[in-house]
Amino acid sequence: MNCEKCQELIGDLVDGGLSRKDQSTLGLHLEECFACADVRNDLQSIVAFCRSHRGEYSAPPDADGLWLRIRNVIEAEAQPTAKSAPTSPAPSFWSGWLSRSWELSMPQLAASAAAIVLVVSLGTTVALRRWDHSRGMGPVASSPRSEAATRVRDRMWQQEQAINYWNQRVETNKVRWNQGMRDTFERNLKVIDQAVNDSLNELNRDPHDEVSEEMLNAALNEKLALLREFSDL
Amino acid sequence: MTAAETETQPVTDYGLTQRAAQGDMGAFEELYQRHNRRVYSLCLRMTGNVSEAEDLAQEVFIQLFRKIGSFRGESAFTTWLHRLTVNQVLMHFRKRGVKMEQTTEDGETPIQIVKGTENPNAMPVVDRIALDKAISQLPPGYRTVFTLHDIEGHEHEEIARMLGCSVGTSKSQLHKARMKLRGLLRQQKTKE
Amino acid sequence: MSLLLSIPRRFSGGHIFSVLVVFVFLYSFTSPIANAQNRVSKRFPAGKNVRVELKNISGTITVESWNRDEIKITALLEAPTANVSPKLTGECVSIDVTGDNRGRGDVGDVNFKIQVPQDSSVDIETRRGDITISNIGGGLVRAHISTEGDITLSGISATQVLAQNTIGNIFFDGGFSRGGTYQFQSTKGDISVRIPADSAFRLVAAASTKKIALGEFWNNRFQTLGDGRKFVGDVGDGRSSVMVTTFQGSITFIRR
Repeated sequence: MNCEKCQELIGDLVDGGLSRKDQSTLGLHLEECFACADVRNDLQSIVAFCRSHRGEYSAPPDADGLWLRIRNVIEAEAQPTAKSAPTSPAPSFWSGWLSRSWELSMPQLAASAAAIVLVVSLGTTVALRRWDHSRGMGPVASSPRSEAATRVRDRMWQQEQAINYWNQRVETNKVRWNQGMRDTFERNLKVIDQAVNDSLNELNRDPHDEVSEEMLNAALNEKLALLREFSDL
Repeated sequence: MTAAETETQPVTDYGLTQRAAQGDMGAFEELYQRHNRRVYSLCLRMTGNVSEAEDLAQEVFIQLFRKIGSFRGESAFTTWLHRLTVNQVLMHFRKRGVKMEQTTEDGETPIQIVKGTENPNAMPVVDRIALDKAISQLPPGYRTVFTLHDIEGHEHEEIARMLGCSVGTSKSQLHKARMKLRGLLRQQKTKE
Repeated sequence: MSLLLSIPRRFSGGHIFSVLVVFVFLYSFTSPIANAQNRVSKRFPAGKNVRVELKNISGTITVESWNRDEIKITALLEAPTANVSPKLTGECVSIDVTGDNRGRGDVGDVNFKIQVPQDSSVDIETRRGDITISNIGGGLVRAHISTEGDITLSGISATQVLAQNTIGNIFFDGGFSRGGTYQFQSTKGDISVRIPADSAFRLVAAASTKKIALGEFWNNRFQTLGDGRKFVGDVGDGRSSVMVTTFQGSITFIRR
């Protein structure tokens, strides 16, 4: 038996799937060839180590933060279906609101406050504009408009959570970057923020504009990607 | 056993999935607490990258919530979750255009055969840090098969089904992965 | 002494030029900039369908094909020093740029020139700096710049092409393969796609500026959305999928 054939069979030997005949032929070669015996010993110790440590796991770097992000996405997804489902015994909005509890980290709390300010100011602008434009038109026409605005706000809210998380990581590492890298980062973040604001302005003008909604999503994803990539530096 | 002890017996994974399927976020959080390490570790070993693994673990749990109503308890929950995680990572590889089979045109990558005169350094005693580092340096195809077989304990038939390849390919990938890993562990020792 | 005396007192233009050449030559060896630069070059044997992965931080990157079954990586490192250690694992050569000991954010420019066989796959990532890839026809060509830099892809016949930057232009010159996917995205940059006249693809093109010029690839089956900010439609039988997005730039399709 040559070394090539031997090393092909060593895998089966380590996994215990070798016939008796092959075992004895292989055994003869291994007694004579130290290099192949070395390979066998090494592979055996790698596989044995893996087997004996099976079931040992390492925790994610921020398990609590990860859970909050997962829950935010799930809850945001659950909202539209809850609205459309005809579940009569469901608790009222206010009782649900009062009995619900939130677990927020400090950055998320800050982001929540910022989001509330954004939502309130958006809401006020939209309401004032509608009041100006449609005095006497009646409240019926405003309903789908507010649904679209809510969808955008939900999306913004979700993304803001994630952006906030990565932003925190970036801020921690930023001091290590050279000045040129810091300037580049700021300049590019500004360009992406401009794209986000342009799409938001378009959506303020027409909350049903699907192209602006897509562009907003793409710009927010872009921002998230930039932050994530720079959080590694 | 006292009544108090009986009452504090933990709810099974299946029980939690039933409650989570009804929209009980508390039950879903309990499932997350029980299994996040397992899911994250598998993602980390298959990708070799911390932030990719975090993102994938997040996506796995979101998918889990979407599909939890379809879990009927026929298999162990951990097996089901494991399959979900592997599929998620493989989908991620496909999206990134990662090739799973590292083969040449005629189907086989030549393995470096160790001859008697080569490589006099003995491989160091395997430890967790060295092994994880070496695994992260493997090409994605090798890393996947090695993780699924040697670390997670899957059979070649299962791996072949998951990856959509033949049992022979799975075996040959594993052999190459082990040989590559051996080389990487030896290199680590040389650098030290 | 007699030698000194023999030096002419009047200097011609030729003398001055010679002195300047000598001065520049000496300066190039003694200046701190030249000392700070370091050149690394490495070759790897390559089989068919080899893959090259590069994760750079800053600097220009040029990838081109050549008629050899090997990969050559040449890196010009600038201060502060960076570590570049290409590794061959299976059929993949990966290059990661790291800093000395202060993390990766303080690494200076590293300019790469990479030569590969034509049927290689190329996956290039950098935080900033231009990427130029030419004459590659493997499975994947990916050029990703997190911030600013132009992306120039010419002579590309890969089945999957992804090009993305934040500030900078993207230029693609090549062919779309049947069943292939092609994505180009820039936040602030012009995207130009130069392809053969008989190309067949399904296109989704979006530009907030409404500057979308499909030239002779336009046909009346195209759907115009968002008041001209987005076009969706098939060219020919739509065999490949093409997605082009820019926020503050233009999209132009040019016939080759």
